[in-house]
Amino acid sequence: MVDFAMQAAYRRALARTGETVTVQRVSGTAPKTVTFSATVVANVQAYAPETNEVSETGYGSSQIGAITQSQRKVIVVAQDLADAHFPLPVKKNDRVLLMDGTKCNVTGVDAHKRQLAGAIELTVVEVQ
Amino acid sequence: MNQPGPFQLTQNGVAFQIVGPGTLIGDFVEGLDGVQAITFQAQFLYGSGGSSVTAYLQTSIDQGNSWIDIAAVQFTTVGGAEMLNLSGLTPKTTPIIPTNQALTPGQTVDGILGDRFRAVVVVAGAYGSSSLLNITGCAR
Repeated sequence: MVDFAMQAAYRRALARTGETVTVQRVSGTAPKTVTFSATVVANVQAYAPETNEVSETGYGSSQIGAITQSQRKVIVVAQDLADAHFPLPVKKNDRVLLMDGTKCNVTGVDAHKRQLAGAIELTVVEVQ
Repeated sequence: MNQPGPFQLTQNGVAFQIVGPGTLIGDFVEGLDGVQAITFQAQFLYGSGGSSVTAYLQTSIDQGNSWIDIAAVQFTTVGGAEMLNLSGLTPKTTPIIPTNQALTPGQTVDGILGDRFRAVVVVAGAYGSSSLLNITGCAR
């Protein structure tokens, strides 16, 4: 159940600090593909690199706590996507285009963590 | 109307993947209360094989309990696109008998627009090479 006051707070926060992103669903197999896009306001967070410490090695990408370089967290309000007729739920391998043109691939979807606010937390990785 | 703009009629969240013979029942798009008109486009990306692909565009007036054909388009073994526009303001002063997956391909039923839409795709013959049917609409 969504707490509308909390959702409104998220929207206010997005209005202040968010950026416009485009979420895309690609159907089909190349070269026969089609794309459906929805443009919404999202909060995009980058994981800050730790520059004072040497990189630790030996952690597999599947291990808990492992962060891939160029990974970002994107928070969107699910109702905004629904209003734009995006076919929910967001799935792995959907795409997110950031405001600066960066293309990202969705690698994780967490609809539970911020469920009270009706928000979805996406883990995305930049693609070339 | 609520939430005008483009939408995609999907099956399991993606465009219709045309493979073997059968009937593919799509997801429904809702939240279109008060829609006055919709322009639909059906785009068929042909791979190989197959016989025919018939898409029935449907709406519901009773919250999804029953579905009514409002248009039917058909493709065979050539890629292409078909477009149509339906108005919710066209008077229907003579009652019609609704059909479900029975409208003749190439025909439309104008004037009947509910608050939700879906597509049912009937595939005849075995298609190969990732044939794809993308049905989109623009509501206003």
